Amino acid sequence: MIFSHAFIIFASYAAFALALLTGILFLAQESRLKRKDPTLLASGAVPLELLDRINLYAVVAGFILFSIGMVAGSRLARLEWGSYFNADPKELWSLVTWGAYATVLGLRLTRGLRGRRVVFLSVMSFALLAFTFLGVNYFTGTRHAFIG
Amino acid sequence: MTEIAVLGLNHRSAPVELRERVAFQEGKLSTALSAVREELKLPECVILSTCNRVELYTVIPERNGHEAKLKNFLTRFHRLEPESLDSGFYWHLQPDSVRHLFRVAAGLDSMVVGESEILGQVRDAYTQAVSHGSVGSVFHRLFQTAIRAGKEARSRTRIGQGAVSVSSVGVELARRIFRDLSSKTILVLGAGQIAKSTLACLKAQGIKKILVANRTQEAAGPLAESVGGQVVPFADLEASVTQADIVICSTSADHYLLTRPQIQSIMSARRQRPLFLIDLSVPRNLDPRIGQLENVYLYDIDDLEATTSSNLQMRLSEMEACSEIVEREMNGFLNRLNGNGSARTPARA
Repeated sequence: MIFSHAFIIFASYAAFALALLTGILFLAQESRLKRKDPTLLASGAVPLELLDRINLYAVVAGFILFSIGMVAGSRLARLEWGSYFNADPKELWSLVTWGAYATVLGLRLTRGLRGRRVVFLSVMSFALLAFTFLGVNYFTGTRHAFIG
Repeated sequence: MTEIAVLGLNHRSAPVELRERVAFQEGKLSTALSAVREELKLPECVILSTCNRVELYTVIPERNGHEAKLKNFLTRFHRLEPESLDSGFYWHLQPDSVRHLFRVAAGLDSMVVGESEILGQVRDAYTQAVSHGSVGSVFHRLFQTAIRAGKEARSRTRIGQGAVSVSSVGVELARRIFRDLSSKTILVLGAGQIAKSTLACLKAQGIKKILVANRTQEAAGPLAESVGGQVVPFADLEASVTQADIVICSTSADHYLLTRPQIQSIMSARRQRPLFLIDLSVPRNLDPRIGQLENVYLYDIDDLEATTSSNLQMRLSEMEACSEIVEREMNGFLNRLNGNGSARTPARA
């Protein structure tokens, strides 16, 4: 069970990493378009609309996988540690990260937002994810000691 | 000993009035090729005739006398007065004739440096001469090498990159914003000449839905008809912009036709779908503050011209690298040709 939990979580990280990459490309190109950078057309580029769409799909895929991974993790925690939720720093920060991506999706899907601000939020959410994955193990006493 | 020669005129050497009189219409090209072969007894000839240049590439048996013979042929063929060809022409012999063709194929001799159309025109001229039996072993190798060098120059340098006209910059910017232009809607306000050419460029990308709005129905109707578009009421501009993805504005109005608050409410109605506005009017017809809104991209004529100028500078900066490729390929060609004894040794590298 631990392997399926870890595998699903890592799959969600991959999707979120794709969202990060497309998000950074979007922000860079959008900024050049807004600044009317005269050298913009001298190099090739992926259209903003496509980057925005891939960013959305990647966040959706990552969010679904991350949610499933968290459920699998809580079931594992019940078996290993006796409770679905143990207030472990990894669990707490995972919830914060989940909340950040839920906000991104909420803004996109319910309020119909797209473009710079919502893409920027997806990029910032990845910073939370990175902290959940690596930072928590370095800075807190998590029981998820198998990582790092 | 045979020699590759070129007699020609181009946008730098001759005015358009002379170029158009000397140009070969497509239907008359085969007659001209036959005439060169039979009347002048020149077995190899390729005629490159475009709006910016008319050039006769020939293999001549000796250096003297052929410039005058070819000019006489042109005066007879086009029924011109002999003195009208006294100026505006250039006559190059080896290796300058070979260098000239290689530079033409690479776009180094074009009015817009690096433009790609010329390479296709050189290929067409060669193909036409081949099908007419006016190409022998020398010109097969010459033109095939020149075309290959032209391709290489473009692929290994940035000589052909970056849009260099206002219309094509508009299209390229749209391609940086939208994924699939063919599914987008264009709204054209006014009917200025640059707006028409920008619209034509965008339409060439497959855009099917075109809306045309003008203060007068008389002006909107013909433009809409010519591009397969639909006339929409000028009074209901906000509804039209809500539908559109790209707006080209080119009217003579002396005030802003669209303001920031208007576009702000339009963006809410269109659920923040990206909107690309091209304001070609002077004075500007779109409030510049519109460009501050999220998912809205506003370019005026100065912005577009700054991009064309930057791209042209980039192309010019690539000319040296491109010329090196041309020289290398040309020297390779002349060495191979000389090795086979078909034509003269190059006078200089």
